Amino acid sequence: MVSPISHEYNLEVKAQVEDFHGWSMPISYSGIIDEYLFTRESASLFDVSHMGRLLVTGTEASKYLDHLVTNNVSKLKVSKALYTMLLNEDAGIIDDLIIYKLESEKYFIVCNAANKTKVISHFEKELNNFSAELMDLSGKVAQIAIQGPKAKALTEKYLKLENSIRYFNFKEIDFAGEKLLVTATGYTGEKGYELYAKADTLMHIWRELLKNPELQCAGLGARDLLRLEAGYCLHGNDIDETTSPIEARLDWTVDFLKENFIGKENAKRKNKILKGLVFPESQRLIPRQGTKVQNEAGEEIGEITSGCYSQILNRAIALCYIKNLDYENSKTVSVKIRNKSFTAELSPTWFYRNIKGKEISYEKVF
Amino acid sequence: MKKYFKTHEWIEKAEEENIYKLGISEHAVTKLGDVVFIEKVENENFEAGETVLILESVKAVADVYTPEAASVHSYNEDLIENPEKLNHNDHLISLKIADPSIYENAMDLASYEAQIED
Repeated sequence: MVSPISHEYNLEVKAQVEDFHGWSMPISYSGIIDEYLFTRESASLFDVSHMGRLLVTGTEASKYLDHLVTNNVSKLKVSKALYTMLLNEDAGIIDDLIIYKLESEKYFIVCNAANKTKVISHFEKELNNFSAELMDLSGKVAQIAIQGPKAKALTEKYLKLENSIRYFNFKEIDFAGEKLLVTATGYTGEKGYELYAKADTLMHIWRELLKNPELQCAGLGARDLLRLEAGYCLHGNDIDETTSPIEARLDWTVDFLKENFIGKENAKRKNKILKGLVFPESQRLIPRQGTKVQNEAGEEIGEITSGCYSQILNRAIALCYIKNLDYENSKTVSVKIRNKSFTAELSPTWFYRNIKGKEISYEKVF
Repeated sequence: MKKYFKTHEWIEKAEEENIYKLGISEHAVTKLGDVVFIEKVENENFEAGETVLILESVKAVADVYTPEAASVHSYNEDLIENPEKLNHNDHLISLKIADPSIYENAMDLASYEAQIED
């Protein structure tokens, strides 16, 4: 499938387009690092139409979602968004979702492209027990993201928003006669918005916004670097159906006081723990997914799930699972990349964010 | 003139006898994307097909191979220290290659590009 928003544009500007779970999506425009730096310094426009978008309505919509997901949907207020996990009975993460409460029993849900079929079938299995309806809006509603320190101001100016929208809040506005959902969410560790509307509307906005030199297009390559620095888990890398929310340090997305939800019985399962890894400045080899983490004696104690070279921190960073919990509180571990051993410091699971001001986690570690 | 190999390297005669400059093709540069580190390997004498340098890009790691038994003459240190400058025109390394027939028998740009399309 091709993106209904950027496909023609990508051909025009000769973007590097690759298959991403069945979608031809832009990986890079001017270069992954250039796009990444521009996002951190100014603002970037991302086409994320490949994501899955669902609608849940009905008198028991809240109850139905509370049965399915880990966080408390009933407590969510209209115009607010919630990050949550969808678990299997073993508390393995089927997908991570953002749920937007549009009206009292009307929810808009965004899931990962790669997991959409699984998410829908999991949702459908439970549907008969509730007075609720599920609709797949992925083909009807598209999605773009504007992220970076200048993203909010320039989007607000363009859309003529009177007030800035607070993080994880959203607003439905009328734009040239069409409904436009403006949400203060993102996957980059920067302030910004995501916009949801019909593809034609977003295609128009995409072209118009790009007239502003403070904004450039960025592809999924830059998005991956940005999300890793911000410590946002990528399903398929850092979380999957074998990892529990506790293991992935996502227990803050679980309401253990909620009466019940699928996977609750096993949700406290902890056989491994997600940790950040920060490498010395001189080490420029990238610690990639699958690289083993060892103790001083060279015994395997864990594995890297995502890694990159962070331009802003001038060092390689990674997320890894420590599988031998005796080493959970260790300060350093050894990582073997292409037959060379490097010492890395265990750190928080995020490295750089600029949501409440610029924050670097490893400064607290070293 | 640059002559190409299936593994996306090119070699070109240098001024000195038996010395060849080695770089990678435009196709390889594009495929790799942003290179953040160029790693030298430990040895300086290679058999045909051995890795002479390793390119670490944001997306992947790629080995650069020598097409023929060779030894290191010199590195393009400017490029190695500034990996973001990697391009298909500049060489990465100069190799001393004893057998010149490898150059004579390699593909020209048109043949190389034709076989990529296949």
